[in-house]
Amino acid sequence: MKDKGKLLILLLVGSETFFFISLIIAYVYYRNFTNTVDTVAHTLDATRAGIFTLFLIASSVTLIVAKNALKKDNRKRFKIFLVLTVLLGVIFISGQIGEYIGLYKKQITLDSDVFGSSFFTLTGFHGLHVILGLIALTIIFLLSIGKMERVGVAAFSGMDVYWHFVDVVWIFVFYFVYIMPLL
Amino acid sequence: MSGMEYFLRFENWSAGWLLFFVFLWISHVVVLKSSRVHKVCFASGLFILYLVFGSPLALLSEYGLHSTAMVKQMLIVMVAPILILNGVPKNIFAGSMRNDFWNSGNSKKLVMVAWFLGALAMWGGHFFGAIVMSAKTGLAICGISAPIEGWFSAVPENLILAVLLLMGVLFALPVFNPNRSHRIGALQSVAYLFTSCVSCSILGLYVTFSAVSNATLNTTTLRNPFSLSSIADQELAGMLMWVPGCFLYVFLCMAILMRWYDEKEGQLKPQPLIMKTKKIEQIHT
Amino acid sequence: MYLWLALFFFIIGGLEAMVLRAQLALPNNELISPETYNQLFTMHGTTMIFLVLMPALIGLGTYLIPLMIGANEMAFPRLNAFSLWMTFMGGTLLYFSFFAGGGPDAGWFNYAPLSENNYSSSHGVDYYLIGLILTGIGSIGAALNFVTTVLTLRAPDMKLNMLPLFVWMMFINGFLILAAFPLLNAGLFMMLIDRQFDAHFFIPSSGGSAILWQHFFWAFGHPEVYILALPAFGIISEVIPVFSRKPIFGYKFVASSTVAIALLAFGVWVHHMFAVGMSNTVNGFFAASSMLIGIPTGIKVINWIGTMYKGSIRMTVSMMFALAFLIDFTIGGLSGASFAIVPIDWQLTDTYYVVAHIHYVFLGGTAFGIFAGIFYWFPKITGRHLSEKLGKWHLWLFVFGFNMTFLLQHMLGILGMPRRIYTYPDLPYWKILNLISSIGAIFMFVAIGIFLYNIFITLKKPRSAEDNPWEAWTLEWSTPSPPNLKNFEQLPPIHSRRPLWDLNNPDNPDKRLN
Repeated sequence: MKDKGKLLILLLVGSETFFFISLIIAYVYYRNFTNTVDTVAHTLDATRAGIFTLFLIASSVTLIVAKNALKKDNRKRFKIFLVLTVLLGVIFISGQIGEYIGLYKKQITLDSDVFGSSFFTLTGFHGLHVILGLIALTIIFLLSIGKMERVGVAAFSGMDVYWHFVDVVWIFVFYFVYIMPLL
Repeated sequence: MSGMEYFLRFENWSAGWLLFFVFLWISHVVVLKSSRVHKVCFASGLFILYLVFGSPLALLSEYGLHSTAMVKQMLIVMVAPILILNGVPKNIFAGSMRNDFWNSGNSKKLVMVAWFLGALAMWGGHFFGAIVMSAKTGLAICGISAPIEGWFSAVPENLILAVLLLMGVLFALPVFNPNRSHRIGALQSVAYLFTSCVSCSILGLYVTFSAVSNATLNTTTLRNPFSLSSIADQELAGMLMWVPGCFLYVFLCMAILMRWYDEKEGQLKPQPLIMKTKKIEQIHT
Repeated sequence: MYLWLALFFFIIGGLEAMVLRAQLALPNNELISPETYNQLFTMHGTTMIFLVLMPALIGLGTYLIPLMIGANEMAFPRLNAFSLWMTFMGGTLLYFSFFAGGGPDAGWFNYAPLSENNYSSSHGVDYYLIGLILTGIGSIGAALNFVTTVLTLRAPDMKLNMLPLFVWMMFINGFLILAAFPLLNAGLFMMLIDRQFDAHFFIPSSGGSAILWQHFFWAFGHPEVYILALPAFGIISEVIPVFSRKPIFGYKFVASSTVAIALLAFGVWVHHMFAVGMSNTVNGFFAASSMLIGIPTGIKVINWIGTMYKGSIRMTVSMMFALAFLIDFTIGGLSGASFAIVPIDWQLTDTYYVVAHIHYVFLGGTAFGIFAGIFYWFPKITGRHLSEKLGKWHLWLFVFGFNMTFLLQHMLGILGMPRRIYTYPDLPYWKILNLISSIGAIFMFVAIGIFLYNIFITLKKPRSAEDNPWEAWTLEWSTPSPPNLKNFEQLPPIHSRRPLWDLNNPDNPDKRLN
């Protein structure tokens, strides 16, 4: 059953859900209910973002494999898949950064217009949460190879909830930001 | 003709559906051994279904009124399933495959599936229903418009409603299973219902606040009996889903909680939320 | 430490209020400039809500929840410390603004576009935004701790439906905080990005929407007022039964109406925006929901009165504050319910009627609850009894002054005096009503002075309180006063909601619940 670490992360995830709902509401509001013209959406490359999305989803999958390995006490497998997860997450973030740079070159920034503001805020906060997750996963990895070779399932069970949450939020963000303008 | 008159006209109430539901109820009484409460609940559930399928409410869809569609969907997905589940005796599923599945360790996943079915019913039902209604009436419903020639207009609305009813029943099962011991605990039920309420509220929010910008013409839709403008109609739809919808959820949560507080020892399920607690020695005088 | 923080900021916030009332005592007064006035009322509101009431309630919760559920500590002690210091940092940063070009001056709800760069170019608003983000994170941390503690560290025999009402209220409150504060944080971040990075979220001229800020703020703001009220309800639900020598009347009603309030809190926020100009349909529905949300609170008041009925009342200072709470919070609740009627709201919005209402619920409700709680639990926390005599002076002066100040402000609002104006012309009755309000503030000032003195001299006394001076029944009273570092070496058997009653009355125990 749940332990207090996992419960904490579940509650935190619930709380952050409301945070992201607010940001998405703001984004949807500006997209649909204002008269301003959308200058950002047509410059977004949905396919490219889609590929990076797949990397993020893959990182969730590797994390599930890692968790199962840990439960079966297969330490080596756990470490490998944990590293893979972090790696895939890093690829995702670098994709985000690349996209930001590309937009910046096209002079689309936080202050260009309402869509610039809401796009960067929404994806930026998501990216921030991803980075925090990557840091935490890295810490767990380092703990698992250092002197404290034993990483208990309890320490890990909260983290994987958080990582899957980050993934699910991205799927919603991806839909609203990249897919919806194309519909 | 005003709204009141519309509802009172005899021919707007379908006799065929009435007979069908009466037949269902009689079968229920004859075949199942149910208590009086069960009979009343089941009858109420069937009455709600009659309202949805066979009353003037059903006919109002022709006018493309968003709010009436909303009322129908709320009744079908939320109200009717609960009444129906409360109207059947507890051993109705005994011996079936579902029972065995529930008793195995998969119940938590089942609950999640049921929750998602409910969310899907609501979001999908609204989305799909809007498309079908738009196709049939040629109006844009909440910004969604579908071509009249498309295959959407051939989908009978009653089919959508029937599917929604089924999904509503599945959604309500974890909380309102006729077999009390298969229900999830009281606090989890409150969490289950509250999270669905949030999901419904988001859509209700969207429908309400998009009314002003989505309604392209601030006119009365198709000379409907209530003289509702399309803006007011959409806002009404969103608010109906949101406020009375939430109240229904709150009311259900209250009922569950009150019953939980009244439970005597022995009927209390072990609370799954109690986790590893610290061991503290106790004095026993 | 939370309580000390709260006390410190209470003094500051109170002094700010005193200056405000001094300025308003007479028409056409020029005691302070309009700019200073704007900063003062903004800071007064922000301080009292986020730096006094929230920390005081969280502090009481942090101290008492483990004691009342038979645990030795909160689930995450370091998170607890983190939350405290975040709150402290937020408060410090907020007040630092005074040294950095002026405090925030756009009101405690900081409406756009006034709070955006083109109308508020000094940095006061930025300090407000960052300060509140920090305190908000602190509150979320505290809420996470509360919920996890109650769910995981209860004594094994204590089922969730046996919780003391204070714990139950704090538990539900935790969920409220977890759901509401992110909404505020989202809005705060967006406005910060607006101001710092020239984004366009809330600036209408460049495509943003000022109304959206209002929606975000009040979607947080309304649950926030329940976040402030529920713990006070919890305190009252502990104090009244003990001093009426009767268990709470209708425990399940009080407990489930709490859940009703928490759920409904998210469905009424537009009633702060009735004057914005949304359609009748929207206004109508929110009016209906706002009227309905009064019902659960009314149920609670009935239950508290029912508890006192045929009880043998002990008139301690704590109990007297609880009674003052009953009366004054009810008045506040009634004035609030009157706002649910949209035309009345249109007439009275942004007048002193609103000011009267909020002070009746925040002061008459939450603050009186906190006072009652402090007098009740002081012996447990510090091992010494606060002086009842000084306490009674404090109580009577404060209640008298409070009602003097704020009761007449209802009238002032109906007569049309808007809020947040730094002075006013000499219109009929405005002068006398304002003057009486300001005199009432002096009484409150003196009363708080007595309270502070009371605390000061009591803390210098030696520890003399017994374990259970009030003959109460919940678990915290089975520990020494103050409790040892490890709260519980042993627990009494827990089979009902009043374990100590069962222990002391083995021939007449409460109904067994586990």
